[in-house]
Amino acid sequence: MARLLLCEFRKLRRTRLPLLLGVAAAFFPLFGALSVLGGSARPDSVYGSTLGTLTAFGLPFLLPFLTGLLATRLFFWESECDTLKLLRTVPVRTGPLAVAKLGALLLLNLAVTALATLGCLLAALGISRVLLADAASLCGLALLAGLLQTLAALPLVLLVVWVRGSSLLSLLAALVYSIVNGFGCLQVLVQMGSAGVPPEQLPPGRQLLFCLPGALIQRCLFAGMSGSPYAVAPALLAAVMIGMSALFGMGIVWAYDRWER
Amino acid sequence: MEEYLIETRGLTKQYGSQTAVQDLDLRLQPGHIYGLLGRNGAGKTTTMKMLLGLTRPTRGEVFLFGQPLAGREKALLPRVGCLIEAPGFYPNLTATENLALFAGLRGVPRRDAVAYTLQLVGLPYRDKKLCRDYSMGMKQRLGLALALLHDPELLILDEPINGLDPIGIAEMRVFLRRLCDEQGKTILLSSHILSEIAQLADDVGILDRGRLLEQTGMAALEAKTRRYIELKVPDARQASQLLDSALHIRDFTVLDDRTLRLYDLTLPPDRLNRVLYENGLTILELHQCEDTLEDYFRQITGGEGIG
Amino acid sequence: MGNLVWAELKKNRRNLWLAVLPLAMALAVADSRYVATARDGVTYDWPLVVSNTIFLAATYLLPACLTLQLTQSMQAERDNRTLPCLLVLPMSFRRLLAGKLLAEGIWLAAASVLEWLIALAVFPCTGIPGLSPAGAATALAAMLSANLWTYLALLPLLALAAQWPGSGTAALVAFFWGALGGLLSNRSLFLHLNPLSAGTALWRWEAGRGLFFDSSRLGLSLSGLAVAVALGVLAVAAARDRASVRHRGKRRRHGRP
Repeated sequence: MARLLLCEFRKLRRTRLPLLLGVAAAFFPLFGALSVLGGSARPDSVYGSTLGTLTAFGLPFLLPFLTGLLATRLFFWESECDTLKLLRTVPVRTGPLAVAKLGALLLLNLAVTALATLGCLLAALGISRVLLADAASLCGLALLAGLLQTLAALPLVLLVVWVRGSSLLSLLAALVYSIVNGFGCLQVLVQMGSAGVPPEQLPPGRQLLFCLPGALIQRCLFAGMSGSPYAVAPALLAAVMIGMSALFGMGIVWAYDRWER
Repeated sequence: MEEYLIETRGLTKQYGSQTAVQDLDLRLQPGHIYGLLGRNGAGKTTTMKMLLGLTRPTRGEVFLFGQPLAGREKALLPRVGCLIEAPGFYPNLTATENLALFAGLRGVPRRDAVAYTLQLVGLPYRDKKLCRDYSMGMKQRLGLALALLHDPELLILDEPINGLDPIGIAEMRVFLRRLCDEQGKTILLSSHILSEIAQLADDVGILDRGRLLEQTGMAALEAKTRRYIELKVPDARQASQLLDSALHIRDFTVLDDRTLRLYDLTLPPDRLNRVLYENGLTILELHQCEDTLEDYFRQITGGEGIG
Repeated sequence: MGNLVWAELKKNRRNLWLAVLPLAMALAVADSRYVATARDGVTYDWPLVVSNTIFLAATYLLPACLTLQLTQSMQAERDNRTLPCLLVLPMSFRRLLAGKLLAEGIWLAAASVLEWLIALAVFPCTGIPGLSPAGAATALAAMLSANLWTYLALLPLLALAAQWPGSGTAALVAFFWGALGGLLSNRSLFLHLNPLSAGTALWRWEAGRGLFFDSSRLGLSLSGLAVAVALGVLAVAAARDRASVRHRGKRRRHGRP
């Protein structure tokens, strides 16, 4: 499995993917830095604007699109290059191959999150010229949010592999998923911050939104321990994420095996 | 040592109502080159895919090295090298990188396997040229290199000379023959170019519409392809009557008003000439001929030839 | 050029790509309607939902959709091997690209009208108050102008992206660039300097005033757009198919022909 995972990265040599990921990571500090302009220059405001924007807005909104893009690239590459028949005669079964691709997807997303977090930290440091005591925990929160948002995007990966259509369809699906997820997470934050209508009093459609994986992540990260009616316990979130990862992970492996046979 | 390196029993593949391969009983002896002949759409590629487990057969069994393939792919496939349809490789990598990637996956123990294989097929080692920039011939060589990388005992090659120029075809022929003779490899290759199979294969299988019509050694096939004497005379009808009455020869066919084919070669040509001349028929032309493999193929498939 | 544009529209008959923009508009309307169900103390009326729709479409959906559609259209010419056939007509790559860009602009205008029609159908029928003839006219003008502004602002990226194979990188850049505008404060100067966000920034919503065209920073916005359009035109003028010549430069650097 390690060998397969390493091969996935070796296949990416001389592609534009590293550039793509670098560009993606560079956008996040830019968001935060621009949103600071015209606002308060206090260190906690600056760090909140950069790292906070990354965690609350940047990652839920933009990571799913990147995930869809990477999934399209990783899962369709063997078909495009016509190398699957060679791999299968090694023999490498499509199941372990799909798992290796998922592993590569996760690691690449984590790399982007780490780069973006570092970029936001440096931007905040540069603007405020002070290293906030809470910076490490804010960075940790961002990394955790990146990991969780990647797992929350597994349904999108399943859709990409299942549809197996053109890359255009996959990218459009990723775009729609990103917007729904991003706005959903934003709505959750807005609702949590407003006059505080308890979730059970919301219309059914809204309640459903608040139960989506992305929304659960926001509820846990931003209201987890505060006693807010929207709070979700970390243990519950962990259980949901593990269950989701297992279910959709198996679905992705099954869909990939089905199509590539 | 196994009697057959590849054996299939009643191998059948159906796609819905269409039968691609039907009741195929193929047998490949070790150390031989087996040429699978057939028109486009005869079922050659489908057969090869089933031999490698890339396609599941509808019925029948595949045996490699005397063992059933089903359930034993992990043990058997590492002993096989293949080139199926167009060669597959990663276009953004060089040939060396492509081979190194697959060498890593296969766990090839030999350290210089990549360099050796590239040298074997005539591609440069550690060249900066990416595979996407390769010509057709170089891509075929790379495909062959990928098949040979792990020094397999058995090679399954689907139309390996596809897209090559005449010199490339000749080089490939020599190369494959050397692999068999000097390195003891067994090769199953498919082609629709009859002349190449005739020059290369030890055994031949003729596939048509999914059925194996004939499976024989090349020597036996050459013996079967008929020799005959072709005669051109002013009156073929009169000549045929003379052959029957005066020479008691009935094994001939009349092609047209002036041409006959005589399959009985026991009669010396000078006696034939004298008998016809004494009866007022001059022989305008006389040729000793032989059916080519293409003629034979046409005969047994009943078709127009290779499509 | 007229023939070329017409050919572009005709060749995509039965092509699902054409549905991308109308679907994106429908999604913007649907999402805006969904947001209006929030119980956050805000009263959602026609001007506000239209403002949200314009913002959603032009900021988050159109940049990526326009980029994907154009790059896929050009990539299809390469994949179907019709590009060499077109180039030997003879037609230059620049002309072909200009034709595709124009066709896309026309299709976007049609999709914007469709967006307006969908909004007219969905919002009043689902209980959003405040629709009036003047409001409807304002909405049409706002949707058309904001969407076309987005398209013009994207011209440099579109013209560059179509010259290379693949669409993922360009779509990602477009998506992120568009999302940038969504993060910026209304007071921010950069909102008007950034051509991609300026189009939506000019159409503002205020409680009591509704949706209106804010010309106070029109000059600044137009200057940003002018730069974008100029860069786009330059990119088209210098355009060539770089998919086939990607490695020619590298070979030259190594001294090989």
